[in-house]
Amino acid sequence: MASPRNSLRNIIIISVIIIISLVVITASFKDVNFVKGLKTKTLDIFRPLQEKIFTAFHPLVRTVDNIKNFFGLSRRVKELEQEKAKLLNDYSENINLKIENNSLRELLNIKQRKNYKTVSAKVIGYNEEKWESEITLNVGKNDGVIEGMGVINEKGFIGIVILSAGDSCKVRLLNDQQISIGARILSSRSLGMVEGSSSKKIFLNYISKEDIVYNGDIVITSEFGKYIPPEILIGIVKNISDSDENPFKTIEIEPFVNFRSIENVLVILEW
Amino acid sequence: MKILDKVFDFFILIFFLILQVVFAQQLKLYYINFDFILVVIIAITFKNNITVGMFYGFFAGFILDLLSSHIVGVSPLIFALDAFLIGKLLESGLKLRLLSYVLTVFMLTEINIVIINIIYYLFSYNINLVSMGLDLLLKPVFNILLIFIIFPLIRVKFSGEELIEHQ
Repeated sequence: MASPRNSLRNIIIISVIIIISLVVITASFKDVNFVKGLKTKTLDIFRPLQEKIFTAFHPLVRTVDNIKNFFGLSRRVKELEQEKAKLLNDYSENINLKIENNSLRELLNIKQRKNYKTVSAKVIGYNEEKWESEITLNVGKNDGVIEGMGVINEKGFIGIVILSAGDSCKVRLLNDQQISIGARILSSRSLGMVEGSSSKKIFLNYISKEDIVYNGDIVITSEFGKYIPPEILIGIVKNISDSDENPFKTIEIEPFVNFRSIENVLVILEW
Repeated sequence: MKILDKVFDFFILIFFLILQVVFAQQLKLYYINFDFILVVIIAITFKNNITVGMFYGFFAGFILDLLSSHIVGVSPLIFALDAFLIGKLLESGLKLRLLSYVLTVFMLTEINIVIINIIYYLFSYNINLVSMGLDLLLKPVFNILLIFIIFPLIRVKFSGEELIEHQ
């Protein structure tokens, strides 16, 4: 049995811990600079160790991934064959469109869209909880990365930098329930907001019921983001539903990027 | 010797902390859900005493939140409370044997999941009940498996004797 003195001491310690924790939770929720500073310092301190352990365990994770993928290979081959046939069909049509587009651009004297100024980065951490979906990159303020910048890879949009330390940064992924970015449907130009959810599904919200949306429509970033350039691919419309309670359509998007296998990305510094 | 022991425990805690941030998160993608820190804190509390458990729990939770969480402060609170609860269980006569460890890990994992969900819900996050149910079902199983790796590493006794040092 514990002596009453020790028992009292433990109650005092746990009370102090509860009070400190509640103060820190409130400060963190209000995004106080002190907590943000602590987060960036901790990221900097642990970054080398984190990178080493991530690199060491990555082959193991890839092996698990490969075993998982192995069972779906035959289905995937069929899907790819169908996709190849469709792409071949589209190819000739696209060449004609490109020629037509180039001649029209020349006529209108419109400059080709500028290339973005980017910095390449490697993923050194992955964090997927119910409450958050984040990755850690090995670039930070020293490379010109600041909060709010967009992160992409060859397939499309990945997320937004939410915390930038000296040599690393945290990126909130598109399926995080706290994310919200402006987006357009490519064909109809309807404007909405792409938002994540607790179920890790991605939705295009605030699209009016009157707007025409089809399954397979492509969703791109809008032109209203300060750090995010327009017309970056986000995903395709996977599911559309209406309900009497909601004045807007419920549109589920399938992202082009597979968040589970991101390894190298680009952070957009300027556009 | 005791100080050396505590320093050793501290380094194990740091190792599993990084493993939690880097490795456990990736395994989660395959529905393998380990909570290394919780099991390490439970082991350290059983081996040392409540005070050490609470301090280590607070420290590890704080670093974990700083490294990988939107809201800082939830994990230190949870892990310190876990150590305190273990203390209360030991006070009421819990013996150091495998079954006690399994029950403690099971109980604390379930309590943590419920408390964390409530805290996040209070901070306006959406709760996904399916995912919470899956957590309640799977997480204790994986954590119980961790007992067989972490407890021997921290050299917690499996002998069934009552702990004298604890308070």
